[in-house]
Amino acid sequence: MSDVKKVLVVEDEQILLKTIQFTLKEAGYEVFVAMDGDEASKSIKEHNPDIVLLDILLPKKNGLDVLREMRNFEPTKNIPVLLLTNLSDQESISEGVELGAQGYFVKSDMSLDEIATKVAETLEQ
Amino acid sequence: MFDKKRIDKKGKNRLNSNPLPNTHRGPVTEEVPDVAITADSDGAFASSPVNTRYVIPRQSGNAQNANGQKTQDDSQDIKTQTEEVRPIYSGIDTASSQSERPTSDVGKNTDDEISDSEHADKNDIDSNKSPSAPKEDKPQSSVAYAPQLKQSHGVDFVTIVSHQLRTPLTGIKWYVDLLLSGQAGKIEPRQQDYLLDIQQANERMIRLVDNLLIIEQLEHDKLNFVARTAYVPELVMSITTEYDSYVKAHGISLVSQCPNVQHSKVKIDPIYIRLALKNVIDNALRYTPEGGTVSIECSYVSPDNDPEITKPMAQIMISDTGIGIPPEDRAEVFKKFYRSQASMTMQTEGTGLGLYIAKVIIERSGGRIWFTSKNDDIDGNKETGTDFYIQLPIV
Repeated sequence: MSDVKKVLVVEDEQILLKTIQFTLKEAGYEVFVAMDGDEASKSIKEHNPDIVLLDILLPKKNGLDVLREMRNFEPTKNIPVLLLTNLSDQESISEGVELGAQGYFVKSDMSLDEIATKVAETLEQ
Repeated sequence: MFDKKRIDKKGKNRLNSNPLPNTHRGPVTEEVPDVAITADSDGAFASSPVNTRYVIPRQSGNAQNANGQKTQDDSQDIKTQTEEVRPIYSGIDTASSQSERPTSDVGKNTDDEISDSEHADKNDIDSNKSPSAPKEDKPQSSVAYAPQLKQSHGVDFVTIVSHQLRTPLTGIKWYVDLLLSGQAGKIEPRQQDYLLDIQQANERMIRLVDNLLIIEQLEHDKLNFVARTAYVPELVMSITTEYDSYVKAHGISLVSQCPNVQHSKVKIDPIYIRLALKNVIDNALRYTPEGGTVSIECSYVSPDNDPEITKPMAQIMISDTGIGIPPEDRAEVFKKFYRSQASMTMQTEGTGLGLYIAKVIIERSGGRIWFTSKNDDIDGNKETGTDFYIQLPIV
């Protein structure tokens, strides 16, 4: 079995997705991507990632609903999730925390290096 | 994705183009659809069919090491993905839904005036899409599906707007990160200087959006924190690394002395505290001339050695070797929109919101902030500079 960790990046903005994907690949992860909520749910089920980087405002189904589904589905309920969004409203943060997200980060606050570091730290926990 | 040809093309375009922004074209995320998508009612996760069209497994042999071949492979990955994801949006009947457009500002199509040719140009550069791609094939801005989150989670208009502003700014930030890292090819010193300028201007804009969002939340009494456990040294470390390029460009030393001491665990909202600390550090750096130093020192303070407090605190001291704050300005420093006379003299940038917001956030987190400042005109010595002290309750 491969030791390479699988990361699913759920991000609908292609300009952001490209950079995250590139950075995480450079860091040695196997990277899957999804650009809407439905696709995220399908990809989680199919690829069983080790960690999910999840945006909140997404087409078709928002990230919090994706997270809720993950937590209510036995095979995926323990997959760590880092919410990576440009929303910083309290309601979204609170709900993300209540749903068991391992982290909530505002994208514009984060450098690409920091994102890679957070992924590594979360996977080590 | 980062093949040299594309980068050269983009760089050339940038250098030759008019430096003034083309306001007609709008922001990067201008592909706003004509109608908001409603949440799926039947999107049950467990029953979702498997569909791999949009999922891009890493190519075998495309391992960690960055080299020319690897970059080429990435480029191909992205192109493949770009082509494959297009059908995601093609199911939206934008033509028939024109009359159903929501009347609220959120989700409104603001792109009506942008011609197809302009869309085509941008897509050609950004996504390698065909210039003749039909409009309905373009990805949607997330503002379009904001209403569903607004309805279910109470996300308001200003939050959505700040999200929309942050997204292209994040794109600029991350691409400049990649370019400066050298992962996209060698950067000449002059190019690096320009990229650092872009990065600084972009960070300034991000901070402005953050601060304006806070002001709006304050004015509508909506500033509520989600407290989480955090460690002050980690927080400081993650913030200071963001200033690496700034201090390098300005010839300023930024020194952090935050040992991982035992008593540094705090329960705060890290997003807001981070903004507060950045505002104070921004202020210190802004008034520190080339060759100066900004130092950050963390310590533990107990009521035994600070009569002003009743419980143990984690203290962060941010010191600069700047011009200091004249006595007549000291009572005004934390006031909203206040900018000192020195800011005019030094032509520093700022809105006068940063320290006001920092104080509000820190005090609402159960902490306190104050400063001492040296000024050679009044204090009778040649020392200048300001020390800001921030204390946060330890848990």
